[in-house]
Amino acid sequence: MSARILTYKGYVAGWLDSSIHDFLEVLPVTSVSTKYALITCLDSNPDPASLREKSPELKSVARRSQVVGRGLLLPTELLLETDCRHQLFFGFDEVWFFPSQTIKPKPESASLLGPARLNQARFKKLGKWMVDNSCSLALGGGEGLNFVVPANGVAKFMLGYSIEQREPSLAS
Amino acid sequence: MTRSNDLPTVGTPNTSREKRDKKGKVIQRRYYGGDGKAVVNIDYDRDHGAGRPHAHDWDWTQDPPVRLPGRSLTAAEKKGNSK
Repeated sequence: MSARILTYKGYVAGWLDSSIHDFLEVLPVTSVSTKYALITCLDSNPDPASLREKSPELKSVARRSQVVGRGLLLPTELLLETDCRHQLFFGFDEVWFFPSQTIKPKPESASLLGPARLNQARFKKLGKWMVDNSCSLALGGGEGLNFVVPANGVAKFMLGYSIEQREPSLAS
Repeated sequence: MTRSNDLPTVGTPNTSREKRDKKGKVIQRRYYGGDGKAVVNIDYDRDHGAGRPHAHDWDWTQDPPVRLPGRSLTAAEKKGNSK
């Protein structure tokens, strides 16, 4: 496999010129593998649990979320409803998806957050935790959208190659 | 797919750039230092416990660079970013 493709066990990392908020518009509510969502960074704050009483945007989900480490775990259905009605994610956010709510806290030593794209060292620090908790999707916003998904076959190469995309040039 | 239109982390030294929403309203301003690296963001469209608008400093001593959690605007920032 090309050294440019970042993998860990069955996972591959990629990058899209998009955002968590926009991606959530296409994520199906009914997916069993993404039934629960763990928010581990919100607007550059790596302690979303501390924002439950402070953030007006979090008010509607605060009571129905569970604290896991410094993160907030909630049903994905609730997350999608909320972000659609009152935008939660504006950039520099990190969200992980799981089939069950039995999740151990995310390691503090690494994150998917931008502006940098994921590298193998950061991926390795997160990989074991993702495998152990059956993580089905990971998203990190900042400059574009870092993602990690389980993939195999040709899909793994196609998704993995996305990390090589050039950054868009913005008009002044 | 909607493109992110995220502001670049490196720009023309001692300038600023703006990110606008679909209606053309400024939702974020990023200031660049003398070396062209982002120094501070001012976010206008969100609160998340830091007030609206609020600021984020950039820490380039970390690898990769990090945008720090939101903070209240300083008096000078308030003056320069009043609506």
